[in-house]
Amino acid sequence: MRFREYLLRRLLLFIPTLFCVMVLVFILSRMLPGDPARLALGPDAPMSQISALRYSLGLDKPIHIQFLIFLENLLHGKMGLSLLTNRDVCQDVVQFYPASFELALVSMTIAMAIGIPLGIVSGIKQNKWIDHLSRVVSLFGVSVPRFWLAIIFILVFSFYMRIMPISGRIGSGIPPPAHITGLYLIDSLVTLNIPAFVSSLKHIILPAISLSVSPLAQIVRLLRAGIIEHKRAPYVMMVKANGMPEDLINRKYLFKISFIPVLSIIGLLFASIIAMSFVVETVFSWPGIGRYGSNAVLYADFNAIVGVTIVAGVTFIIANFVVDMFYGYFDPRIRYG
Amino acid sequence: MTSPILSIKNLAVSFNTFEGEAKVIDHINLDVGEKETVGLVGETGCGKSVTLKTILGILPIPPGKVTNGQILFGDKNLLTLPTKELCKLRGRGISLIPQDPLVSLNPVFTIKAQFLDLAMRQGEEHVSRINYYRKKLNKKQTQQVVKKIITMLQKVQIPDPERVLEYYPYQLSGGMAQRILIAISLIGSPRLLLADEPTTALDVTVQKQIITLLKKIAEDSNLSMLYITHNLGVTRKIAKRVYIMYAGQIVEMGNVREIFNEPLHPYTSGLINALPKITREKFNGIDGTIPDYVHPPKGCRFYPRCPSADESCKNQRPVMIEVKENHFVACRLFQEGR
Repeated sequence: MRFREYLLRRLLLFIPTLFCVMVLVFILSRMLPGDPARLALGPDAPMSQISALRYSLGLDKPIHIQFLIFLENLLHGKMGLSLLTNRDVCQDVVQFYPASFELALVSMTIAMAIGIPLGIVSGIKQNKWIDHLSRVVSLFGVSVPRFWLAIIFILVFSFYMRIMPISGRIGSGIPPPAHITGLYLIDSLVTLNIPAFVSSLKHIILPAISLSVSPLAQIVRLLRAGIIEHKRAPYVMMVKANGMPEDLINRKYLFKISFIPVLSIIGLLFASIIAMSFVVETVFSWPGIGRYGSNAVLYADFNAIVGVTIVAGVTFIIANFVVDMFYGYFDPRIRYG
Repeated sequence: MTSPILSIKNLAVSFNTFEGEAKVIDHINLDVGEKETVGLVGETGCGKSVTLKTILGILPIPPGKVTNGQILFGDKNLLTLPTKELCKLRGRGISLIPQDPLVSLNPVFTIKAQFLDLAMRQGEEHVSRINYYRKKLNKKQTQQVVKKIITMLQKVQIPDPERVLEYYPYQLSGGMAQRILIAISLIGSPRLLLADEPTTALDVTVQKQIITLLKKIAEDSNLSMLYITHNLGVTRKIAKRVYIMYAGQIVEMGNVREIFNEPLHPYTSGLINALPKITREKFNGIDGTIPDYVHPPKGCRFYPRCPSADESCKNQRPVMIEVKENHFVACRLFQEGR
């Protein structure tokens, strides 16, 4: 099978997956306890107002009709009114999603930039001091709660040392960069807006680090295990015995085969940072989709819940697609099999 | 025997295990002469592969540990040689044909990728990234090496080598993979070939082809070869002289034909009786298993399984003595004064 066919097949799988996600999310959101209209209007609202709001939101129709209306609206770029922000959920998503995406991108970059070399060194120098150190660090990483780390970071760096901003995406005196991608770091860099770049970099570092610790630890552990599993494999012994230099074996041959399991979790980790970072986003007042979503759940803002969940689902699907693409490169057996 | 190219003197190797120190190789002596093919025969787990790995310096240390002895390659002691020198020898002085061809090639790289990197980088201890890409992007040099590889693949009778180079290992048959591995082991024109049961994983017809090929190559290129196997029958086809190994000790050494016709050590006779024959319906195996290496028998290691053992075998380790010309055995039955 050619690489292009492989990708096409993966891409086609996208459609049924997405549809299933939407059906599931929609039904679940309608089954949530509590009447959204009553929650929106408050406990003292008269019955007539509530039924009027139910009518205007379409909540009085049967659920399959509601779903069809929802699909039709989605094709027009609408996800229904958010009861919290009084705007269309689509607008909210477009506003909040890039912030989370940027955060996830930076923290995954940190996790990979540190985790991959550390995992390799740890696996090759098994049971040496550097391995013990990295194992302690990664054990800490998988077990420490992210929000705790976030609070400690704020205390140490923002409160006592006062070298980092406490919250937000960018300094209050600095206008955000022109909207191109919605990612402040990239936008400010493209428009050569240096003060905005520096400020947004300063703002993103602490939340990004607190989110990166757990993925970093998982990458280290998986890669270490892979290296240890493969470093005595017959194909490594063979090239070593016949004179291939050891550093070339380690960084090319051992790395590629050990990286395959790591690759498959990287996609999941990336998507889960976006979808599940609401605690850290809340601690840092990061205006991202996680914080928006958790508020939506608290106030039974059902359109927003559906919107956020679908966006999270799509993020997972896309991240896995990207991983599949790399998979084809890293493991030819998958591509041809 | 001509002067030896490889000479193992009193080698002892042990492993640290949870139960204690496993003395896997127990003071063995072994010589491979110039242009000679020598067989090393023993059952699975007797320490054949450990011996090979120790020669090449790829034994994982720890848990492995060389406790005694010398391995002389020419006039160099491989055990004390600096890593840099050892790297120069691997592939170019001594090379290895591995045991199981289908798992001895890296599954996520094409044959070309692995073969080319190996051929271009053989003999170096370190390769920096810059240096690596500089050499690889040098089209002329790369082309030359590819040509050399293709010639080598033709020599091991791979049909359509250009196409095979683009394959991934899982697209190859066992016989093809083993031919490629032989080509890999020959690319640095070594003087000594270490063959670690190269035909065990293959079926019988392919086995025969590979043995014929190896024999021809060794003769054509004046190679010395140490051929390891658990199959005495295979040894007869390729080697002239053979060492019989039992539980980390050499128990008998001599001309293959002589050992077949007149085995001296009880273990050797047991091995020969265990060979399937057309004229006989039942094989006669040797009862029991290889002893525990952490607490091996104090005297002869074969004593618990030996049909001719007596009390003196229990405590006294027999030494190798020359019973006939160039036929040595380590057994009480042939000891002086008996």
